[in-house]
Amino acid sequence: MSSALSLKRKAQVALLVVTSLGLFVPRVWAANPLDGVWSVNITIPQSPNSTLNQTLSVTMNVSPLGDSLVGRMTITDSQNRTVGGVWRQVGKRISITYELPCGDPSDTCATLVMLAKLKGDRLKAGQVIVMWDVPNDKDPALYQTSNGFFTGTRGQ
Amino acid sequence: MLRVVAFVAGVVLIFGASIGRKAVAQSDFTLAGEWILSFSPINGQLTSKFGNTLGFADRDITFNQDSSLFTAIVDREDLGPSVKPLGDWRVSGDNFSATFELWCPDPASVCGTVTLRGSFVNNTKINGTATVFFEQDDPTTPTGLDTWTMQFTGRQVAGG
Repeated sequence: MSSALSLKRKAQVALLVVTSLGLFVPRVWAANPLDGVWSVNITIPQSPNSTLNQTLSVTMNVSPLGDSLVGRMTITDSQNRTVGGVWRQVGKRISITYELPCGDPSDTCATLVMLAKLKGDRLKAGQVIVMWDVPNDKDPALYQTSNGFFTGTRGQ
Repeated sequence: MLRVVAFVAGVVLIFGASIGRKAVAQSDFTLAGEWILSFSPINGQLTSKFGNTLGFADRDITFNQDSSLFTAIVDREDLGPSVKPLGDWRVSGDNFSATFELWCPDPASVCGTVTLRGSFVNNTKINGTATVFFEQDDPTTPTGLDTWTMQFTGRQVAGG
């Protein structure tokens, strides 16, 4: 009888531990994954030497992370041009990179590297690095770079 | 009158054909396919200012084009069968750009983004430079991130 009670007690303790772990683990890993649709406003200089900024409003359709801890996305701009991008997430830290559309002669070609923190349904403290298609031996990147910022909210 | 017409038609044919060839030649270049890229240091710089490095191993990269989506995948079977970092790319004339997110399984390690810039030597050979933006603060760089560069040459895998 006492043995049966002891077993029952152990089972209860085990259940409690498992339940606690179940509740605890998601909070540790917790940041929601980025995948889904995002409305993002990216503010960067208009051109490599410009002091004037432009704001690009894009929709990011983010696919889930793959086995390599990186994932794909599509980025559609206000002119309905869609390009591919890739992203990575470690905890709340997000990194996104893609090539700006540059088919038209008026386009200035560049690569964007975007870093942010994911908080709920918002991308916060978004930092943008622009690497222009302009060689520059004095820049550590060997190409001219600029800085910008971005914000994002989940949904269209 | 006939001579004038024939002359004008000849000029149009000759210049039209040469313009056509130029346009085709520019659009001939593409990264689509499988490439082996070999990296080497620039001015002996083996690591970044903060000691970050990717090493100089050859990389097997497959570039794909699906409509307006230009995607790339790096084969890192040396690390594991499922380790395939992703990127995207574009070509403009004889120049190209590609950008990749690194595979970083250890959250405590410094991760980063790699951008390739280069040009086509011909349809099967490329060269250029790689820039790595490590996610480590460096107030001395314009971007504020630890930055490291390498140079590379690439050859397209036959049939790739």
